[in-house]
Amino acid sequence: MNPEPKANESGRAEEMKLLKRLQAGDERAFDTLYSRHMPPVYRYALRMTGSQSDADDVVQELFLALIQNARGYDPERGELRSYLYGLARRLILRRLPSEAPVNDDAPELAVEDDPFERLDLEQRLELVRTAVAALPACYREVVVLCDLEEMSYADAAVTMGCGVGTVRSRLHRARAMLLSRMERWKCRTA
Amino acid sequence: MQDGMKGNPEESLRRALAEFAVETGSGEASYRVRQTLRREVRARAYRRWVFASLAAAAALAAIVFGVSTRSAQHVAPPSAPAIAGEGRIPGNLSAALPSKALDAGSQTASTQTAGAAAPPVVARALRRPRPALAADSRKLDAPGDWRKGEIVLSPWYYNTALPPSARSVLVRSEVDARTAMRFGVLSAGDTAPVEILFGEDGLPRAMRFVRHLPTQKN
Repeated sequence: MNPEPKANESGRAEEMKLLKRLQAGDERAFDTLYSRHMPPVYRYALRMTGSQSDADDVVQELFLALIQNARGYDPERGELRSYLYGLARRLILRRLPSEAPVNDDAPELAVEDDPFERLDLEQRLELVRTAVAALPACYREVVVLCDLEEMSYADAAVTMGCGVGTVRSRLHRARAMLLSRMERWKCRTA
Repeated sequence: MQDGMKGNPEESLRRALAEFAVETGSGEASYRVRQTLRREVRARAYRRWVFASLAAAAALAAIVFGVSTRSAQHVAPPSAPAIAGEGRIPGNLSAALPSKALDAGSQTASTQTAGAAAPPVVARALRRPRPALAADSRKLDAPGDWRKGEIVLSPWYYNTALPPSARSVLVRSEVDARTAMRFGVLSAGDTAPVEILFGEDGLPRAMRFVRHLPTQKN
């Protein structure tokens, strides 16, 4: 017997009760849901937009939508966290500048040298931050979800509205692009 | 301080991403966002409270209106109860009427009799009397010629001090002439026949005077 589905069902039922209470104006329910779901959503928005004010706005819009239309969430279709990630994704993509469509089948960029060689922590972090922010949105979100949020490929696929295979290929490609960009950046600064 | 990493570039990237995740993992939305959302939650609670209050007020108004409608229906019944039969019940039941009730009834009587110039003439109910009452009537008083004549009934004098009763019992009795005088009714004898409506709690709700007209023979 696998107790996980029952635990998931009870968790969803509990979150559904909290949502109903939230919509009725219960501040305790709001505190519980906010402290539970705000940090990951905020991190996701911050890593995607690179701006604290934009991340604040995303969190505010997201929870306002949740308060005003809590019935939009269907526990049969998935967990509340996935629903919130999907909602946050739409709000984030609305804020990002439109980009040219990306060809997922583009050839990989081979990188031989380690771009992090002889860099201290501050430099590495700055290098990663710059490289992640420069990625196209569809690659950035897969890096943020899978590498930074440590989400499973399946959950990331649900959030992004695509297949698991697409998530894998985009992640592979995104990592290669990161390494390539870091290498070029390192060469320029050297 | 140099903290270089040598080896596989992908592994290095993975470590660098993990460091980046830790570095950006403790962020939280600003306090302003929380306050804005909390205000929205409170506003919803307030709107819900207002709605619930209005609904409760509407429900209360409906209940009060329903009770007053029922009371009005009791004060003005669509038809007078049928008379089962004539008979004297031993003892004077006017003593059973509380003095306050009679006082209230007398006040009502003065206004109602002023409005009604002549008491309505009601044809005798031809309904067959209930066996129990009929038996009592036969036992107490033999039926006279009134069954062939007419009965004049005064308006009902209601005891408005008591709540309305869902079920009532009609009892025929007599009140003394003095009590009848207080209702503006002159009695030829020492007593005047009345009909008293008792509620299910045993308290009198209404009373009216009964006068038998002799049969007019052509």
